[in-house]
Amino acid sequence: MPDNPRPRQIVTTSDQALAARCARGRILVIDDDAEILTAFGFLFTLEGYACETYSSAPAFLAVLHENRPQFPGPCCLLCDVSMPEMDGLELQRQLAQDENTPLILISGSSGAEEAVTGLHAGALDFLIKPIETEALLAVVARALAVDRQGQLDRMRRANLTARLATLTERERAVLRRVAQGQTNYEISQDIAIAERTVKLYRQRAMEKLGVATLPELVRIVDEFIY
Amino acid sequence: MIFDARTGFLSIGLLNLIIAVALWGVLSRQRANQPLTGLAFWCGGGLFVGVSTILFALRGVVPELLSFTAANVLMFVALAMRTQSLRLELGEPESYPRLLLGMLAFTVVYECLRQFTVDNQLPFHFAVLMFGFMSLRVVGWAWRLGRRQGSLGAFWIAGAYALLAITYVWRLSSVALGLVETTILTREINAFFLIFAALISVIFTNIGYLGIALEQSIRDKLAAAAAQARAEENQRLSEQLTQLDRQRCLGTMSASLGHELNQPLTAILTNAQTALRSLPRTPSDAAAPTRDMLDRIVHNTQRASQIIERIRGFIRPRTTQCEPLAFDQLVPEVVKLIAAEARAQRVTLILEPNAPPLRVMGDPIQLSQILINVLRNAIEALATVERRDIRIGLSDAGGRAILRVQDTGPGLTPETRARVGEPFFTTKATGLGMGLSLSQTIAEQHGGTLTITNAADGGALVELSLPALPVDAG
Repeated sequence: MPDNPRPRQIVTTSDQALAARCARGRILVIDDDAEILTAFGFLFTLEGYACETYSSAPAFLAVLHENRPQFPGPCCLLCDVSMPEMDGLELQRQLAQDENTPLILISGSSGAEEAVTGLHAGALDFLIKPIETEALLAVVARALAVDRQGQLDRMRRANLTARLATLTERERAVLRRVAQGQTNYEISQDIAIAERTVKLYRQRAMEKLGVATLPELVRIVDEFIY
Repeated sequence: MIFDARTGFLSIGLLNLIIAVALWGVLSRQRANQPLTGLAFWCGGGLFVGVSTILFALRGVVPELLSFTAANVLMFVALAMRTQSLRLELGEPESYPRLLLGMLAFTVVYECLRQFTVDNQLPFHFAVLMFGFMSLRVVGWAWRLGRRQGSLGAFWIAGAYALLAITYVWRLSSVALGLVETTILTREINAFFLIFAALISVIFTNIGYLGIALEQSIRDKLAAAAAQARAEENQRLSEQLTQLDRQRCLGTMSASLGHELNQPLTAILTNAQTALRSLPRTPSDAAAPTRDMLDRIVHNTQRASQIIERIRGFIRPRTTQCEPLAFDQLVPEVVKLIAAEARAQRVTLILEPNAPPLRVMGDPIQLSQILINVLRNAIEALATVERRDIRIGLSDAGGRAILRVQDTGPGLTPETRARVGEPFFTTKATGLGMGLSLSQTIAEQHGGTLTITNAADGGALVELSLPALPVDAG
């Protein structure tokens, strides 16, 4: 799903239940066989997940492009490989550009080529029908964990980017030198300000970035300023 | 001299006539399916030679028009006909107008010479010259025939006519030199030699011709045999192609069938397993039967899926999953699977008790498939009879595990017995004819055999023999 989906508001009690399910995980199933969609729907609903089913890749893309507000929570895609109109591998290619959601491919036949192509293109797993429920649930759980971690990483990055934007030019210069291992005195000599002022900038920058220790600060500077 | 030329020529003439008629009698029947023109020309030529020779012999007895003109013309015509006969064999016949024109020209020239000259010298020279020339033509064509068809008979003909041609040349030159008279009805060595040459030629030319005809018929028979062999080969090839086509068709069919069947199987499996998960975690007495039934659904769905996978494996050969397995336990399991089907057809499955422990190396699914095929066939075979029993027995025969399935059905007809197990051979209106062929392939892949015979006390007897593993303590 887009990196920052618009959060959906809880209005009714059923919204509340759905939000709870979504918090556990939202599973999007795409398959051209309605019976399979129903069966997977039963399974994931029973397991306490939110499950959305789509009968074709274009149907899924249409809904995706509407960018509907969503309840927060991890998400994964479960997609059949052989479908009319657009097959699973083609959908994977189209999604690859702007999509981080883990993709699990399922196939009716053990096509080794398809499996290799799909896995190379970044699919989380490739399952052969008929799929053992235990195995399916395990893969889905793994996919949701991956997505949850991904969402956390993205949130953290977004948060830090916002904090870094509040730094002044001077604070930034001081931080860069701190990360390089210079002492406060060296920095003061370097950019021709009082050592006390260096300490002040350093203090303020760490407060703005919300870090308490030097190693933490160094890691963020390494990651974002350089 | 002790011989009489007149008698000699008369005999030669008669011999020619007899041989001509006999040759026709023999060869016209044998060559019933071929054009007889060549043979007719040859035998006709023989008849004319015969008549001509008799007329020569009767000089002084019959009018000169017969003994001179007719005799010479007939001799010329006979040589022309024999040439034509050989050319027909070669497939390069002379055009008939030219042939007739040649005969007419000879007749006219000879008659004119005879009418307008006083002595017999000029017509004699002309006629003998022409005979010699015509004989050489026969030699030429016979030689070509011999070379072309590798026919020994044609060389005999060429030789005989060469002898005649030499005789004519010798006679011509001896008359020209005034050594002898033109008349041949003498008692001299000259006439004797001519008669001798005629005798040799009549015998050898006709034997030669007979040889050509026989060689021809042998060649025809060989050609016919070759043609038939080709036709049979074509037939066999086309059958193989049809079979390959059907196999390919089946391959495609089963690939798509596998995919199509996997979809509903996936839905069934997921639904059943979901239902299982929705049951209370602690199995209460109330839920136990449901759980059991759902377990069966799951198990059978998995089996169905494995069978599909195996069938596709046959089309796209893959290594089988070999593992040591207890054959004596596998068989009752499979029998249980088919029991409902048997009951529906009022067939009693009798599993002989006290089966010895048998271990074999194999793929349980594929071996089950054999037994299911065999049992299904037996159940179907029993549809037409009153007593419907199938006996299933296991035994250990010196390192081999033997499974015997015997039914009380009508058994196999001789025709069925000859072809049973061939791919796509079926006695069922709706069958594909793959069942037994597939089963035999599986058995062979396991180093075993699957045979079908009629039991001594009626009914079909299927015997599966597999190499057994030693039954150890484990």
